[in-house]
Amino acid sequence: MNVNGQTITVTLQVPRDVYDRASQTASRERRPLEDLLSRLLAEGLNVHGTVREVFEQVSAQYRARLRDEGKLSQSADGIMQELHELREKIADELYPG
Amino acid sequence: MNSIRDELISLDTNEFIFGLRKDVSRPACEILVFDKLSELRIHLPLQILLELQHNLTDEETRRVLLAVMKAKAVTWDYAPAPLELVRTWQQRGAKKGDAVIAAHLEIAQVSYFVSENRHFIAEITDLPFKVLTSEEAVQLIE
Repeated sequence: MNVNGQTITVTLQVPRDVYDRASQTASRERRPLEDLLSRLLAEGLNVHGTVREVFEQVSAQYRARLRDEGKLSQSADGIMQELHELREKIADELYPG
Repeated sequence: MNSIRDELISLDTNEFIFGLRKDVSRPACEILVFDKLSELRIHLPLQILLELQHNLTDEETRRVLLAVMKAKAVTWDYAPAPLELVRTWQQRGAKKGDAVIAAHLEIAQVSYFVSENRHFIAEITDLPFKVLTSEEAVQLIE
């Protein structure tokens, strides 16, 4: 195990068929195998976590993004208005006319 | 027996958004989504899925949907609501977007729709589903 900043390099053994499936999926998604395995591991942990744990993680990620975009302090009324406009826009696209 | 735990319930997009934002003006959204979801039978219609995708990144959407799968039961409706049903709801006074949601809920026989929009098709009285705020829903669940 090699610790480097925020990431840790782990060496592990997996069955050949698991490796083959992962390789094929990574190839199909045109992403490095390491990225795919890292994502699968995180998602696997989410499956075992509580709903709150999973939502807390997404919430932290979402709030950080909103903060970067300067939208975190948006008012509730402003959010409701945006969501209302989005609803009408999607409905217009799905049901033109 | 508390029927809200046993009947189909749909959460409006705003419940997820306010919950994820941890909006202090809507604390019940976080309680509902983060803590009560596993006790509910969730129905997610196409319109709500598309709205979530517009607000969240692919990664955020995937993780939210993974969390939703931890509900007591979950059904995903990827089919657009029938046009004639949407038109019927529009003729009854609903705006097009709300008419789409109402059509989805009616066809799936959803019993409860939770939304922070207190005006959600409020002009129509004989709805086939009950509209609740997150606060009301949490009280019913508890």
